Parts: sequence; structure tokens; C-alpha cells
Amino acid sequence: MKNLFQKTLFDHKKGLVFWILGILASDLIITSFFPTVKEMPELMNQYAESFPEEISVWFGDLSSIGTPEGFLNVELFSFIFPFAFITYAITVGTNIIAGEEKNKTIDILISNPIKRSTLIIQKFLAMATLITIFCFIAWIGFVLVIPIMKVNLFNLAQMCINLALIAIFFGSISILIGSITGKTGISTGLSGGLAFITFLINGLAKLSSDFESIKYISPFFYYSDSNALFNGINIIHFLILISSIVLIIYLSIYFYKDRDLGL
Amino acid sequence: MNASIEITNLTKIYDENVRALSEVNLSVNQGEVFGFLGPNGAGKSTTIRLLLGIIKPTTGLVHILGMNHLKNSIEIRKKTGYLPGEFSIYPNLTGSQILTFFSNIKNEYDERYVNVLAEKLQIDLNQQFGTLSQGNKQKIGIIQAIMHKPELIILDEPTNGLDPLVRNKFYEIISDLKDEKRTIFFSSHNISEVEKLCDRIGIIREGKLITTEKISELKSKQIQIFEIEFSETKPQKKDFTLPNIENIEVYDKTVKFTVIGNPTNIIKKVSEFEIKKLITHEPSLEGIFMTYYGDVK
Repeated sequence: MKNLFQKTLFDHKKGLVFWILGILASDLIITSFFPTVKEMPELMNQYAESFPEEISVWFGDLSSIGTPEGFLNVELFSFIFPFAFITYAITVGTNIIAGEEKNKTIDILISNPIKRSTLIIQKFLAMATLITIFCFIAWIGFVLVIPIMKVNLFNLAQMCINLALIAIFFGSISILIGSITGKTGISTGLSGGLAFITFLINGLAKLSSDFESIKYISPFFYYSDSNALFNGINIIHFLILISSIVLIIYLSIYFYKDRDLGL
Repeated sequence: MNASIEITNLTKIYDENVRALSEVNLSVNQGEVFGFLGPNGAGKSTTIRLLLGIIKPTTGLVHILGMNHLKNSIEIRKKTGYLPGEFSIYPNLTGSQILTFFSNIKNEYDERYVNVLAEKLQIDLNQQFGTLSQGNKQKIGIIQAIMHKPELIILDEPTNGLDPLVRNKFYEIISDLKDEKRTIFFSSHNISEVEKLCDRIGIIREGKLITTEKISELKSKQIQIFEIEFSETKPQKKDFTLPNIENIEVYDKTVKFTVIGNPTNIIKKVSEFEIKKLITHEPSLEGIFMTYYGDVK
């Protein structure tokens, strides 16, 4: 372990193995249902119609569930994968910044010749790397199950990039809150709460014109609006997410560099 | 002589107007072993955490090794070793992994010296930190603070949790570092170890530095303890209530008190009685502290 980036990755190596196995299992199990769904279009249409139309705004377009892209969108990319990855990103983001203060390890770390900005950047990069690995593994999983479900792997790769960005966005939020407060509870709670609220806002904006104007504050809008599984990434939305993450990390450094640590 | 630590009007006020440190002025010379004493909550750890930039001063200036401690913090930390009062580090790593990690950050690793220290302190570096006893954790903390042979070593209660044998080994290590003219600043509750190791001490109470004094000067203060056993008379406390007498204790036919300064008036007073036994001795450093500054524990 030559630096904080490597150490942060090292600290998460056990979890990494379980997550990789979990992601591959999810890919395989969910995909294994697709042939059945595909062979019963009428039944699936009835099934889709039995749900209130509004549910599609949060959980994907049920009417397209008979296509590989629509199926993956509903089953994994609308809700399960984003929230699983966001939960992991928030947990890591909280532990690597606020956790150092909670565990009283920050004194010894900061007494070493390491800039506070370097500390934030290296830890952020480690969190982003972990999430990127997971998303790559998710994509690899779908490559392996191509014989069961033929999906456009290029679009799927773009969807996985979007997935990584939304998770890294909320992981960065937990880094920011940890940098400001140094409290793990506040960091986890506020980041998770923000993820949930912005998810609701994105759905509500599709249902009611009252919410139309505030959909732009929801990162989920930039994650899901282009429907990357069908159309690929919207480059503007992609750049907005990237810029937001850079801004959040910049703010984290700003608040962290002069704060009294470990109080 | 150059100052390794130069603190000028250092004040720290936390939120809600909690004044943790109040206009502290202190200079620690290069090559000096400086003991920082005070009761719990007096401001010892706050001072140390301010020196290292973990917390920021409300007002005041700190120069360490001739550099401003905020502007040159990275350069200072390369040349500084630190052991916090409550040493806590990553429980999933072994002692060896912890020391290698910090050596990599410091960009300096002397494996031979680390092994010498580990052998001296009798610690197995291959065990996970989380499984170690408090004393063994402290040993890892001591090694990481001095393994790069820093110019300035700051130790907050370094002997916490160490058994007497290891404590003596630690004193030997400090003596070696002292011989190498490294500056050592450490806080302690243990006055006998301060007496043993330090050239000079500072006493802090309620965020204010009460005094700094050389150990040799402190020990040369004219303070004597008298213990007198009378033949027949039962002594009365009021008989010995004189301006230069403190800590009077009376039990049965014996009186014990501390005399500050010239004892002629005491000798005269005592000569009025029939004496069976008279013993005088110099107080310990702790006794001197208590006489001058009250109970610093």
C-alpha cells in the first residue's frame, strides 16, 4: 500500500469479492427469466396492464418488458441496480471520510505529510474505482449471458457508465457531507435521503406538470432520461453528471481543508 | 539556541465560546525534552493537536522547526513524529502493514530500525492491530512516531497502557533519541517519568500555561519535609501554623509538614518541645508541584 488510494481499495477487498459474485448472480438469475417472459407476450401484456400506469415512471416501462432492453430496464436498471450501487457508494463515501473521524484514526493520518486535498481526492478516486469495477462486472455478466438474451452490448455499456455515474454522484455527496460534518450518521442519512427524494422528484415530474420544472435538480433525470439501453448516452446529461461530481469533490476539499478534525 | 517549537499567543475557542486554550506562549529548544503537565481537560491534547494542524488556532502563531505551522505543514510533518493520546488505527491491518503504509506516505523506511524498536518493545508486527491488547497497540503507536527518526517527536501520554518493564524500555528509547539531540515534547500524568526524562516542564491548567521551569531548578527549590515525633506532648496543629509551613498533618504524637524556604523559625518553635525523633527529607518532584501549584494530577 503506497498511498491512500491503494489502502482504500485494500480495505474493501473482502466486500469487493462478495459484490462481484452478487452482481454476476443477479445478471444470471434475472436474465434466466427472460426466455419465459419473451414466449408469453400476451400474459406479460396483461401483467403490465394490471399495474397502475404511474408505476412505470419509477420502475421502467412495463410495456417494453418483452424486449431484452426493456426487460433489463424494468428488472435491474430502473431501481435495483441504481439503489444497490448508490447504497454501496454512500457506505464507502461515508466510511472513508467521516469514518476516519468516528474511528479516531484521522489524527494519526493527518499528522503525516499528506495534504487534506490529496486525502479527499485519493479516497474519492478509490470509491469511484470500486463503483466502476462493479459496473464493468455487471456488463461482463451480460456478455456471458448473451446466449440467453441478445442485448445491444454497446448500449448496455453506456447504460453501465450511466449507472456508475449516478452511484459515484451520491458517493461523492456522502464525501461532501462527511467533509463538512465529520459525522457518519449525518453523512449516510442525508446522502440516502437525498437519493430517495431526488428519485421521487424524477418520477413525479413525469406524472405532474407541477414538478416538470424541478426535474432538472434530480440526478436521476440525467441518469434515466435518455434511456441509454435503447438510445445510448445523452452526452449533455453525461457531462452534467461528471461536472456535478467534480464540483462536489471541489466543495468537499474546500470545506475539509480548514476544518477542525476529529472533534 | 534554535527553538523547535515557538508558540505565540495561541488561543483556541471552540463553538459556543468554549475557550480551550488562552494566549499560550511557549518555546521548546532544539534537542530539549519538554514535559507538558496538567490535569485532564487542561488543554494538553488541544495544544498538541494545534501544533500538528489537526485543529486550527482561533488566534496566535506557531512556528515549528523554524517554519509557520499552517503554511509549511507538509514540510513540518515530514520531520515530525506524533503519537496521539488515544492511539487508534486500522484494525484490519497488521503492525507491519501499518508501519509500511505510513513509511510510504513519509517516503522514509528504515526496516532495520523498525525491527530494533519492535524487538526492544517486544511486539509481534505480524498480528492484526484489532487483535492486540491496549499496551501492544501503544507500542505500534510509539514505533510509528519515531521510526523515521524525526527531528521533532510529539507524544501525548506515551506510556498509557504500558507495563513497567516496557515503560523502562521506552525510557531507554527516549534517552537514545535525546542523545541524538532530537527534540521531544510529551504530555504526561506521570510525574516520576517526567522527572526522569525531561530537561524542562510546562504546567497547563484551564487552558492557561501556568509556568515553565527547568527540572533542575525545580528540584533545587528550598523545600523540606519535616516529620517530628514528640516524647510526651501531643502536638497541636495551631502550634505549627507559620507563614512558611504548608500541608500540616498531625497524628498521635507526630507532626508532619512542608517547610518552604529558611527553616530557622521552625527549629526555634520545635525546640520548645521534648523531641523523640526528627526526620527531614527533600520532597519528590510531585511534592514540589503540589506545594507550588496544587495537585497537578
